[in-house]
Amino acid sequence: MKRFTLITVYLLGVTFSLAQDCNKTLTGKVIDFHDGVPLKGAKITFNDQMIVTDTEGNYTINGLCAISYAFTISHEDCNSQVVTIDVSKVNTKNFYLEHHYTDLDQIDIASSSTSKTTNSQVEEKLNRKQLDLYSSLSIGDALKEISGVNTLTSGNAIVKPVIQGLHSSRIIILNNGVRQEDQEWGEEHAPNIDINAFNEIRVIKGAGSLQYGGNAIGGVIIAENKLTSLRDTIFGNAQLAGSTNGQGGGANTALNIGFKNGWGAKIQGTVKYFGDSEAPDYILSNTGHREQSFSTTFGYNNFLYGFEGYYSFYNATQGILRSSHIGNVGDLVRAINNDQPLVINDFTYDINAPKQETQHHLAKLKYYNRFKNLGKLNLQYSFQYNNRKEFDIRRGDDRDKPSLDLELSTHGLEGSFLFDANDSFKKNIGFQLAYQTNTPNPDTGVRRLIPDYTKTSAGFFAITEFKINNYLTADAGIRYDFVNIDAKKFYKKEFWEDREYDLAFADLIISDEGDQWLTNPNFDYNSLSASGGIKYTYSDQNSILFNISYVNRAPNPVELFSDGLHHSAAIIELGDLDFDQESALKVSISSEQKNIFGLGSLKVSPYISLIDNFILLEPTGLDFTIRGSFPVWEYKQTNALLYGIDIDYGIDIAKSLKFTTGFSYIYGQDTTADEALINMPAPNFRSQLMYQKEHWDIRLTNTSVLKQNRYPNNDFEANFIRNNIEVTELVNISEPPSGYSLFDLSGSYSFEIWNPKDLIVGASITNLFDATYRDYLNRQRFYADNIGRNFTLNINFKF
Amino acid sequence: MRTRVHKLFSILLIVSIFASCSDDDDNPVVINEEETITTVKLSVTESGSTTTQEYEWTESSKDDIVLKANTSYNIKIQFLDESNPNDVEDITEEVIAEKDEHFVFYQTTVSGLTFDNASDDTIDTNNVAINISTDWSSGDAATGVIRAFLIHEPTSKTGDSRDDFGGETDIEVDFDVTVE
Repeated sequence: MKRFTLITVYLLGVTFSLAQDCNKTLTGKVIDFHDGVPLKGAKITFNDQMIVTDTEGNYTINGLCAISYAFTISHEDCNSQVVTIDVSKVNTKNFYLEHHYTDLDQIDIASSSTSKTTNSQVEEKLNRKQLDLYSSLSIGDALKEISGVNTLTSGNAIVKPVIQGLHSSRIIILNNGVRQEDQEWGEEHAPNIDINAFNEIRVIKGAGSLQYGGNAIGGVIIAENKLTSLRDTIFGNAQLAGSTNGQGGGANTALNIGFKNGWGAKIQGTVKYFGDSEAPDYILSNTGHREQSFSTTFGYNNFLYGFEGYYSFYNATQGILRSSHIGNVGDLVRAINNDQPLVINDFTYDINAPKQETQHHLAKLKYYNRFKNLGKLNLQYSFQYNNRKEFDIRRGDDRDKPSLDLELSTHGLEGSFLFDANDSFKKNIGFQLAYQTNTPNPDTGVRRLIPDYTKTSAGFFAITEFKINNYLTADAGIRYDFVNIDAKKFYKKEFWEDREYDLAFADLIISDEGDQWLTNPNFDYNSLSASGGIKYTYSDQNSILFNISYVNRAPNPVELFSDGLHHSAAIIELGDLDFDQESALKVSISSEQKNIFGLGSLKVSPYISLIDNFILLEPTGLDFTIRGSFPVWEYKQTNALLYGIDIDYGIDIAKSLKFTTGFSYIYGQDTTADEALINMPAPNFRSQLMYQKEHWDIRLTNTSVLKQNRYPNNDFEANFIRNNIEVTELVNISEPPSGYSLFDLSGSYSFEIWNPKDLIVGASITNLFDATYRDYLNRQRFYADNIGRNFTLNINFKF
Repeated sequence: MRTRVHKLFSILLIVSIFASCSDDDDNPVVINEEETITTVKLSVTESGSTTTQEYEWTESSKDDIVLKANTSYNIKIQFLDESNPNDVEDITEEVIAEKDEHFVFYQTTVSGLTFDNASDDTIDTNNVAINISTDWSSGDAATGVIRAFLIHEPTSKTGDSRDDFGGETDIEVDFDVTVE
């Protein structure tokens, strides 16, 4: 493209030399498109001449002939423009340049922008290079690098991120700008997202990012996949990884094409294939998993407008540890009392029931337009389709039928207008509309865990960011959300009366279906959220952030409608139609010092949140069924207090040797019942020693997790017959497992083929010492140890 | 530029209207779970007798078993789905069809009461009797419970306590027993 421009200029130059009447003048200004400020020192070049604008941005070009010229207008930090002007017709012309270059989505696969997306919230990010290390794992695994982010797992392949103690529907995951809708409510539902589809993943550890959606009282995970454009390029990479644990591997490849004229496209695909994982002492039978995913983006960008189309597909089959599928409490007790899982088979790639099959399609169309001296309009439409099938161990003809088969479709339409003409007083207003339908397939022959429903939601926000002075930037925002859930739910008549719904919700019944009522719960939730904060920057790079936010979350369908047996936990879970919204007030402070007393960088981020109507599951009694007795857990609303601190420290020990360590602590208390909250991550440390020199990159990582000593006592008594005598035993399900310390070692060497670091060959060993451990936030901790040593070989080829 | 924005808006609007209109007001169909077992039935026959006493366990009611002291009985177990009273299904047939994956086991707190598999019991392909039909003999007068288990995919079919078999418990019900 550049060559083409030069040829044009040359040809025009020839015309110029042949022309006769050359006394024309062109005058005007070079102006920042963005805020209307005249640009000083902008260069206008044509033929072999160059004119520079004065302090007011003015320019004058004399001695032009009455013909067309191609002028190249450039300014540092700006994207150059070539404009052709017929001087015989025009004698004044203002040129507009865009200096917000980074906004133009022109981003390299290797680099990423350093700017934050929020002003006063605690925010961390992982770039492509860090994500590469986890290519055969999941997003949750990678996010553990960030202090204050833990994972709630079901085995090693189903990994859910937990931000400062909160997870599932309290977190928003943005998949390339679209709020991921993939039945995130279940504790064993991992996000249906391929880590390889993104250049960068950010985590906002706060509730106040009002532009991304309502309900995010736990935080926001922003996964972005940016197009490369505005330069002529074609590049890509192919990565292969093979692991000993699971005897499988993954392959992924991506191809990016960019054109200087603004067009760009990207295509990316991943395949993963693993058999049973292994704990140090045994095979974790039926824990294989497969994953295929694909994404493609194309778009056009220039500084006035642009659009982007994106489609991604994710398909996964995940085996669930065979021994964790249990029939009743007696089985649970047998599992707890046995050091080893009750079913250990030979290694296999086969995946049998229990298993999950999930598919997620996401398509979006995005459009933006910039307006002179005003700002930027964004519009986006998205469609998502999620199908989740869960297979239990079943009998007879139903053997191959899923027990749960849900189809979730979500349409989203959103728009925002960012008024950024005045850089020191930005305003962003917008809306989000979503329409969602959930359709459980009745062919399962199992009563629906989640009912048929439609959910309509609308949100409107206005946020602003203003510079008070060079050191202080403040932000404030407000958001209104409306959520309607219109469900068709069958209730067993007996249950309906037990719960006294016949008194409070008699008008919901729409038909009588034998021993069940068909009901039509239709609930509206209105909420107002607000957030405000300041960022104080001092001594160049140091900063202090302060944020206070108040956010609401409408109850999700599980919390409202659950009424069944949960096989993996041997509990009966009951929802409650009566629920109100959760309201969270969170205050966070963060101090970041780049160089503290010459001893490295330190970031300290304490926070406190008070959550009213916090929804949690609590054991309330025993239910006697034909399968034996089961503890009944009911969703309850209570008041919760969470506070904690995340600390990150890093130091360059020597030129090529770096040490970083992160610590997080969280305290969660049910203030109504005056007891600890369940499933709060234990205090944990993550430290890394990193050696990087020339072609070498070697890392030694330690993860140490202390024992969680704060937990609610949910132990219960169960009755057994032992040696012909009926005995009552306490079932210890509450006490978290002991702490543990794991070491990982990884190294890579980069080769130069055409360019530096074209080919990176790496190897890693996780759980180096094959430590046996169980994790409090692994739902399979009652049944088996976590996975043992894993040796992975990794080849990443860039082209 | 303005027309372009308008066009985009109208397309998006049309798409979303279509989407919102596509659902209909049909109610979802009711699911009556088929593979549920609602009833465990014990058919108790005294040795040498032809009269059989039936005892049933359902979630709403259970029968108490009465046995004579120092007497032999045959007990056959049945698993029924009576969720539709007009179409009672005998799940025992499925259990027998999948005999390799199933095992019935009893525990009792009644002293002197013992059981063993009967000669007409179902034998699986590994030559193990799965206790669908069992012979019992009672001791002196006593009271207690018989706890009946249906175990799915047991890890072992040999042993003398529930813990020895592993697997998943499909059924675990208690019958009160009086030996008199």
